[in-house]
Amino acid sequence: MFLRIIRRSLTKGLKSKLLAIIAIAFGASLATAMLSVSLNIGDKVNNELKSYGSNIVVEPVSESLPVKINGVNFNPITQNQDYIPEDDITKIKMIFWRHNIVNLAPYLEITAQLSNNRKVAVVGTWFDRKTRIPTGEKFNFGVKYLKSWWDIEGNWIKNGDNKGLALVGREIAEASNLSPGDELRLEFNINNQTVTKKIKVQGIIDSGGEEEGKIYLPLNILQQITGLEDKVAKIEVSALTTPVNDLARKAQQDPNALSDEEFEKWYCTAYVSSIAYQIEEVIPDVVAQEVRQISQSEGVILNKIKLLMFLVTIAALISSGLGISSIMTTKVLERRKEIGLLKAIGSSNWGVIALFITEISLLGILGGVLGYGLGIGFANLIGQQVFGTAISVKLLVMPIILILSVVVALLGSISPLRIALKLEPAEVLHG
Amino acid sequence: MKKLQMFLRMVGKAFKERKSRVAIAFFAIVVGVGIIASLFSVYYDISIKMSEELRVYGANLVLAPDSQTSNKEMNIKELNKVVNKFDKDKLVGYRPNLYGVVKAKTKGVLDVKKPVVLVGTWFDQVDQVNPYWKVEGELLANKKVDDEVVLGKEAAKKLGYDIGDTLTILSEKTGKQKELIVSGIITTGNEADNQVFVNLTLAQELLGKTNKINVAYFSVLGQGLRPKVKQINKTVDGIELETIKKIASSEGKVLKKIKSLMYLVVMIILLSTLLCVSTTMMTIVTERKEEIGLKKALGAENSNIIIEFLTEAAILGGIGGLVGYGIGFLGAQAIGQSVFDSYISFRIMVVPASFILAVLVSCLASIIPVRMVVDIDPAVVLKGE
Amino acid sequence: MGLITLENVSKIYGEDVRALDNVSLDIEEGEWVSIMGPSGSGKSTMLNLIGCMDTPSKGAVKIDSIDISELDKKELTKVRREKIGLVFQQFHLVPYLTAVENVMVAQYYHSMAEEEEARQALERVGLGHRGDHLPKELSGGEQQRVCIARALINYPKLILADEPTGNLDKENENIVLDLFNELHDQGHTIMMVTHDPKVGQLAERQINLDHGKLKDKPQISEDKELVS
Repeated sequence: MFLRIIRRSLTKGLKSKLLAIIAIAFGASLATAMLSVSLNIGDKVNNELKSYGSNIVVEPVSESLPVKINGVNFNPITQNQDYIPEDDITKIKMIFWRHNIVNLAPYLEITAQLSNNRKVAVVGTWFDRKTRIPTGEKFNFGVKYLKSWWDIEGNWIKNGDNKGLALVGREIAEASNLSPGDELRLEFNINNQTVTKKIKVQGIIDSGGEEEGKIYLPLNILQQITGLEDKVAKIEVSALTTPVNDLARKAQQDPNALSDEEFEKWYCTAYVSSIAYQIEEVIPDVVAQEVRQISQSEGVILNKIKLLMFLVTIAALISSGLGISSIMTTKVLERRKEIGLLKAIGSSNWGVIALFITEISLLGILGGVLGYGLGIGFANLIGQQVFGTAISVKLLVMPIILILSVVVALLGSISPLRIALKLEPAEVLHG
Repeated sequence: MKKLQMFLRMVGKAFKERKSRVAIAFFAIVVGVGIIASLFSVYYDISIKMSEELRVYGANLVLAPDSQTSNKEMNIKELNKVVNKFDKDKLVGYRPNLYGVVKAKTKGVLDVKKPVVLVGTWFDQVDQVNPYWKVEGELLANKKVDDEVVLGKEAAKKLGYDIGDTLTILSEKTGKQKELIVSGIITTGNEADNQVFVNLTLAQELLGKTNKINVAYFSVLGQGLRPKVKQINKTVDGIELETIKKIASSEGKVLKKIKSLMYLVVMIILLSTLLCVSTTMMTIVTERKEEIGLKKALGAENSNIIIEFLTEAAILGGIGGLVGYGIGFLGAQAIGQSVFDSYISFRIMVVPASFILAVLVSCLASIIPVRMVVDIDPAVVLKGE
Repeated sequence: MGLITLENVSKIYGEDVRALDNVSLDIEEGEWVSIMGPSGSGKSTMLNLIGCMDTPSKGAVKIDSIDISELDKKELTKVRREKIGLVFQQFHLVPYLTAVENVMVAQYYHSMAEEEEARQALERVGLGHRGDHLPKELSGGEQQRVCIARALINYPKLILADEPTGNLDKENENIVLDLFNELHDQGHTIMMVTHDPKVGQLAERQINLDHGKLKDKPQISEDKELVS
């Protein structure tokens, strides 16, 4: 009989319950959308912050102290420079946190002279190069991805191996009156011999940074000129990292000072220090350092955005919670007569409560499911509009939303139910 | 007059005697409007606040001698000229640099002097221009100090010095030599780690470049710096001010996304909240079917009924809207303080907007069910249960 | 021509459900008429038609010479407002207004809301001292008397009562019926719908309905004097 009443109430009484279901669905959709977005926001914003460039720099361990101002080497003594084997570069894409390595580029830098005797730093690098890593996967690495803020007048260099093309910094271009398409003569002093190379200007770099005073060539061209085949002097890496906390700071001082448990936790969290540590593990004799301007700042910003979204989500949850409970309150109050009738024909208080709890729970689940679907739609709308990607749906959200919908709906019904049960049937029936 | 009095009496009593219903509707409106008002207040400030936060990345403008100058030096007077062109509240900080190569002794090894890059600068605004510097020990806060030095981490390591040690540097250009106590070590992850920092005046003296600087970095608030930069370049000769695109354009991109995100989020919350409030009010009005039927039986026109309900709704919405705004504003401050450590500005516009929104929603939510019932024959309502 | 005239009135729902089937009758001014019959006989339908809450499918319903069959809703409301005073079985008082305010509501929609007049109306039904009470503070009989006061306030041509004592106990029923008697003596026209023959016989004339048709010719009850 109990089931019969429930069934009747849901099929026949559905029209009047529709409003309640709609309200619950909207509340649930809001909660779903906000929760999904909140859980994703860290990753999405982290990706956006990659436009600031590399946050890790990898260099060979060296005893010598570089004497460079804006990249131009002022050390008269040519010291034995150390290099990183070019083959080691792809190992970076093989570390534990390989999926967090967004992009990278190697550098080899040498001072050369222009025809007007002006000294200039010449850098060999990858621009936009399809690189194969040992697993067989291919990635496009290069400064085109790392330096998204470079404003190029002219064109980028694609897969520049073996091409005598160059990107020239704006300062150099202005001083030497260069435009895209012009030819340029560079003089190198290699092992006390002058080597000249003619290159074509493919583009001019406007960035407001030290790049404007440099000339960029394809890496292997510079390697050929300098006789430093398969060698690079520096690698810049852009990685997705987790903001630092006390554990990360402790590890940064000295990873060996961590307990086994702490070490495991640190290693398995994408702190910039643990990624740097892992890079040092796979490439021998290098120092991987965080570029504090980028890595520290992005941590600060990420934390703020996460906090903001968290608070907004709480506001949204309050709003949806209240919306759901207030409509439940009115709906139950409206059924005072029905409750009075049930009691008049002999139902106990608990009988009425059981009936209502079942009905309301079912309404909550129904509204919750509808709301969840709608909410995922909202979340994806946000994801696509703002970040251009979909929101990854965390399975955890669905049960949470269903439980919350039911709990909130029930909470909203408690007060009016208690009031209604206290009333004498006669009062209610004759009103 | 009598008619108006009776009208007000009916409307007033509708509030007084149905307290629990009115309370629910009022509560729903207050909380709904509160949340919407607080989020909108935050949204309007979000550009400014996030822009301030993004200054954590440091300098976004760089001042250098223009490309005509061959020796890459400019007079410090030019720096002051440019500084004066900025609004005081937009200029977060600035720092001039003078570079040169000097010789420094490796600690403990007699007479081995290595070349190092010497940077003369001002340390008082490092927090604003380079907030990401990790400082061990102390920086030189006083510009007059000429017997202390700050070392980059690599420089300190490779030369073998620590905080408290005495370091001698020699300028080959002027022949001047100076003994300096290491007061601090900085870690940055960029070139600065390899360099040696002293106060600008001392560097100028050692390098023989009185009143000269090579470059200055600025941290400036605000979007749309390009026109400002263009204007300054036009009016001050011999120098070139540039945006550091790495910082400035990325900031622009990030801000745009965040603003867009907040906007969508706020819109969705707005929609949802409005719908929840509306459905609640609709239910409440539907309960008064009997009353509507009765009034029609007593001779009320549809317009009478509608006006009565609209007035009730407008009053409820109006008061609820104002109270909601008040609570919302407080909520916005709570968010502002926890995330940005600052106050969200009071925007006069949000007050009438909240008021109007609340009244509109309240009226619409009441009118829809009333319109559905008002055409029903009173007989149906009065006979049926 | 009577105050109320039904000329071949039928109310048809759907294809062939005839709530009223070709009914004709006249009610003169000053008459006290009771409409009787079992459930489904068409009493409510007739009440709705005469109460200007519905229009006939066929035939003419004339109230004080006005044919309401062709009127739109707004015009119907006007006639109802000016000519008819309604008394319901379920009372239907506005729960959040006092007794005097409930009477004033009827005034308000008609013309002016005069508190003095409303109080006098309550006096006439013996509730002058209960004017400031809410409906929930009044007994069933008192509530119904407030309804009667409300029905009278605009000097209607006809008092239309639907099972006026249906929800009352014996004592209150008598009080209310005595009131109706007084009103009849004062010259009011009263039409009462009831299923209770004892109540119905108090009226001057009984009209019996069965399945939408008049059961027998309108007769003057011979028992009237005995029952009073």
